Amino acid sequence: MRVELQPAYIIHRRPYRNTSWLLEVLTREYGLIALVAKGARRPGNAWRFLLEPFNSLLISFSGRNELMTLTSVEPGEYRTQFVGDKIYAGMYMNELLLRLLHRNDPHEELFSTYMIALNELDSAADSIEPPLRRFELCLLREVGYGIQLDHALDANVTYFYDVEKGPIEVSGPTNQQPLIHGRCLLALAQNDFSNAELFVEMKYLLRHVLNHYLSGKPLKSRELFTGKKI
Amino acid sequence: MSYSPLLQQLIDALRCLPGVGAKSAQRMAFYLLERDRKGAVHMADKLQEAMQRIGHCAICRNFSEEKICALCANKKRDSSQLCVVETPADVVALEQSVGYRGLYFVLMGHLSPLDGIGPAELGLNILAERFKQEDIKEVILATGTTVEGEATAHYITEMARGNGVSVSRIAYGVPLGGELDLIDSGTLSHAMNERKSV
Ligand SMILES: [Zn+2]
Repeated sequence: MRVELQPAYIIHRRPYRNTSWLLEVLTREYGLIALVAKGARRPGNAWRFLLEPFNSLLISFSGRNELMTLTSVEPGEYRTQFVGDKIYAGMYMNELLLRLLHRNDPHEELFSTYMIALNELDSAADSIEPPLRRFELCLLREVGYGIQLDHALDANVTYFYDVEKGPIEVSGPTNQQPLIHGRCLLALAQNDFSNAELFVEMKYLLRHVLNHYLSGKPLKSRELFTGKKI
Repeated sequence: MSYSPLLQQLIDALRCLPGVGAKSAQRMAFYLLERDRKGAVHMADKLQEAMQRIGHCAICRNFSEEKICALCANKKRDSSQLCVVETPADVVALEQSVGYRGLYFVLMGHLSPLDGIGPAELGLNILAERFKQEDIKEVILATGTTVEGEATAHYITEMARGNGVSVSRIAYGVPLGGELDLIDSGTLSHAMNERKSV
């Protein structure tokens, strides 16, 4: 296989042999792939500074096996220069991608959502919540665990959200968790993140569902937000 | 090609050195056996001793066989300044080339949640304790310019500010003797943004 100028983001990299990187890359058309960037850790290597997470890239690669070789890298359309909490938010998204995606499964919509989320985070928007929630919703949907929002929902009703069955109306007192207001589920169904009062509840629901599919193994990047909100 | 069992084990053991593959390991093993058995025995002794005795300084986390390393114990160092670096090699580099007289904190890495490295793994609880206990006026961040280095710098900045410690970051930009057109665009934009009046 030989692919030219594929839009891509580095999700993770680790040292490989003496001078190379082993990269996990999210590509637009090929999903999450593993690539070797030969010699990229040598001093003075031209790729050295490009091959960082959150840089929009155009990459070419080739190979026959599961592990292919990076053959060229160019800067892509966008340039992100994350500072502060935005880096944590980016690392959080990357950890979710690595934990939930299978390699070599294309997810074009997820790629776009990820790209938009990075750009939103970079655009000095007030809150990191809407881009993260949109990304989480899309990721869950793409890996087949989407939040079930096609039920007839009433804004004024409280629901127990069952990970398998979706929202179940609650009438009396209950110990079941999580309890979510109809207006929160409706906002999620409409991709509407204009009401900041719903952010806490949205995060609570998405975290509950994500934790279920992460099999109880916590996300390391959440530690960076201790005492803060993600 | 077959080696005696012990020779094979020696070659395999040598391959744990960075950059040493099968061929180099074989060359090293033959060299030591043929030409420098005394040196090899000495090396084995020192390896053994170092691996057993060298731990981390309780204050700065740098490698040390003493509970507190010589640099931290040196009363002549300026204890109001604390420079945070990623590796012991960074301390060596700074000590050799800079007239810095303050103290250090060595992270032994950087924040990298995808590799399982969070604040606790970098000993940031020890650093937080130092911010509280010691009379540190300025923390100088000398972490890398990678995404992980930036995340680490940001995390420590917030910790320091929460404890009323002022924070600075070493400058980076155009290398001495460097031609502008050979510098990567990231470094160049940094050098431009962080320019100072002359
Ligand atoms: Zn020390």
